[in-house]
Amino acid sequence: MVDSKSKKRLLIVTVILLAIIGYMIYNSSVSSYSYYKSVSEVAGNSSYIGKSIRVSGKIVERSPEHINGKYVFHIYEKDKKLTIVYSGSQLPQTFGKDITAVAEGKLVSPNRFEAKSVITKCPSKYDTKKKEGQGKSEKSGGK
Amino acid sequence: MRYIGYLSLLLTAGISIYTAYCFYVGTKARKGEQQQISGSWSIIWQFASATFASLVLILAFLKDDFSFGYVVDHSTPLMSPFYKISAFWAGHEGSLLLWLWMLTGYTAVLALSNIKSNHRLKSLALYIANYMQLFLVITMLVASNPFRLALGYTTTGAGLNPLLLHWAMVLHPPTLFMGYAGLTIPFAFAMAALLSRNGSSEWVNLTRSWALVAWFFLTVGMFLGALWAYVVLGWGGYWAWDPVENATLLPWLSGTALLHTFTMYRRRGGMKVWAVGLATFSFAMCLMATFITRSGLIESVHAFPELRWDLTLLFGGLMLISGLLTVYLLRTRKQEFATQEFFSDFLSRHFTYYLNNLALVVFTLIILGATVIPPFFKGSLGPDFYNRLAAPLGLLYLLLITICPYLGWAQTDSNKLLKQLIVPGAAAVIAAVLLYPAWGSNLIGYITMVAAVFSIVAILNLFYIMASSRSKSQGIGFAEAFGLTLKNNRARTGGYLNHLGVAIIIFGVAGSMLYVKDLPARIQNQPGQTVQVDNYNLMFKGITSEQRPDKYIYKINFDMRDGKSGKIIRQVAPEYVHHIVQNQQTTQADIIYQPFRDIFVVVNKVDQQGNIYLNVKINPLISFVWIGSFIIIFGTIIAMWPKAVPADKPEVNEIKPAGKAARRKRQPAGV
Repeated sequence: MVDSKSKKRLLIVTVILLAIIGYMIYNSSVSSYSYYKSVSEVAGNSSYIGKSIRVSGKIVERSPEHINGKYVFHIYEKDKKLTIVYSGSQLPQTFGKDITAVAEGKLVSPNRFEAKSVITKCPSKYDTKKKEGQGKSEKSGGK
Repeated sequence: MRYIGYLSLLLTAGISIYTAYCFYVGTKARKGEQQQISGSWSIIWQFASATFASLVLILAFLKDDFSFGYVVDHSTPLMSPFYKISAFWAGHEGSLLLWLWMLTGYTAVLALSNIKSNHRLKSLALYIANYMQLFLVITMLVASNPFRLALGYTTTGAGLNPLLLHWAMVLHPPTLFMGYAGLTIPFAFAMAALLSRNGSSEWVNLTRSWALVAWFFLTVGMFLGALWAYVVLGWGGYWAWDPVENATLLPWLSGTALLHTFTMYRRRGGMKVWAVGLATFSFAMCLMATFITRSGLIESVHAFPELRWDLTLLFGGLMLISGLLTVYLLRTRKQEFATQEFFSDFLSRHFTYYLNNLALVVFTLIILGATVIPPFFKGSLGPDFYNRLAAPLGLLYLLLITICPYLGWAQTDSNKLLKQLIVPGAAAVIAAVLLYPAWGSNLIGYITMVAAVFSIVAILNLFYIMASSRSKSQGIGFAEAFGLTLKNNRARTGGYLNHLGVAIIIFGVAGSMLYVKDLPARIQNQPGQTVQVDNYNLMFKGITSEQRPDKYIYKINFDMRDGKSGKIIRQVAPEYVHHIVQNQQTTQADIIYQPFRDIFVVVNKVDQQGNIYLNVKINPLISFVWIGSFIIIFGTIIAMWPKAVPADKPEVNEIKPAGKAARRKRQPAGV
């Protein structure tokens, strides 16, 4: 029942559609791709300036400062610290000291990171092995 | 107690192996009736045993039995029994047990219907589904044991994340797992059809309602998740392309393609290879979804632990095996599964159904790839990526599902089609004019809304065409004809209702994603202070606090007035909550629901200088998202509603004589 002419036509349409979609995917992935980095990799490293990055670390303060309508806080990992400036209007609900935050945005100077979005990691629900000891949590913080 | 639970898992595994033996011998031998019957019975016994294991775990949670490592990880004595039960599926161990429990429930129902009649396809499907059950039990026994011993003695546990303490989040996972477990059945039947070299539509007829039920639960599950995100997370969103959200979308999209392909298979004997392929693909996507959310693959708001290699190997292996098995069986049974009717004209459902499958599979693969691949390169694709693609592709897809029902299966009278599209076209023009002043500021949003109006009217028009042609041909009133159309063409009207729901959701999405206003404000911590935000005036009334066993709640009270008239709209009291066990703060938005917009009031911070920082967020048209979801849920219920005639009545798989088929389907422009 499958005649080759119809099959050919269908194939051509498919290839055209996939090519268009492929181009669209390429286009939007180039502009939305960001690298995942830790605080110690990013802080003080000027080679990352201007690149799209997601950086994670633990929050230093209980609540952020409010400067010129922007939230300013710090995240740390071991002895490295990074200033996060968040221009959005609302921080995640679970913001707080030692909560792991993931900020997405760009490094503007070696120690200043301007974030488009900030999310915090919920500490309990999907964790399989937590609160067994500090070693474990430090390890997952570094990843 | 842990041992009792563990033993009942072992018992389930034992019965499962016996079941496999029964069906293997029973379906091979010529006179295997007896073995098939005992196979069906042992499927039912597996359900009993899995139920017992699940009850043990539930009891452990209710009794705060902290000798269970799993209970320690997810519960505390302070949680209410309702949430204690929900901690059951908080980790991968319990999720797998829940999946097993539900799957054995499904197969037990199937087995019950197989005991009397002993249907070969059903027996083979049970044989295949049983392997999935065995897989789940073995995974639990070797890699993810819900009955493992706690490390050390303790009298309290970690508790659930406070954000998850919400009724919708309690129901969300089990609903999804009902869907995941349900999509195992179409896969099992697809394999059964291949094994028995039976390319007729028999297996599709047997499994269609199972697929619908599974799809129904997936839809409800996603809806609950979106609702939870909206109400609890307090950023006014309901969808953020988070990996966990993407995961639920994978089986839903492929399941949607599967359901449509089933229609093509049953009605026209077409797309047989597609149907089998999509059954396997959907099954694999269920595994994938569980794997993504429960294995630690991806960073997300949910904070995954590190990747579990044992689970990766088990889940990856199963996906690979089921994929390879499908490919192998399809290659060796090409003849039996050759399509009976093929695409020949672009203006036909053969073409639009093909496009539909192509689109849904491509969407699934895009989302899967974008979610899963970047983490391997230490990167990620943000919501921007999806949003940029979703607008154009979503619009095209909306037009596809709008036009498709107007087409004939094989070809379409294009003049008639154009005539039928005059009304929706005119509606779109009117909408374009009316919507411009308020919504013209955002071009993508504006176009989307106009297109959605076109779709909504076009789909309503379909109902009108169906009912009026019935009323003419049968000489009955329009209302009666409309009722009969709903009653007699459930699969079709249910499907169209779903299209309607999708169009309405897209209308709402355009409004609530592209026209959101988010306005920060600051107010002095002194009663009587006021602040003007957009059209609203907020007067601070003071902070009241409340203590519960597990948390302190601070209510920040305001009177909200209309900025112009000064009339009081409502008192609002966003909350600031401190959770004692978890030592965490959360905020709780107060939401004012209005028909055409929701207004969020959230307090972010009260600082030492006595400033209260709050946000007022205005979300237009969000209610359309919920209304559309309800229509989809309603439409699916209509499509699922059992017919008076049993659906699994064997049907002769031949294309119906053209005359009769054409007469029945004359209403749309199709010939």
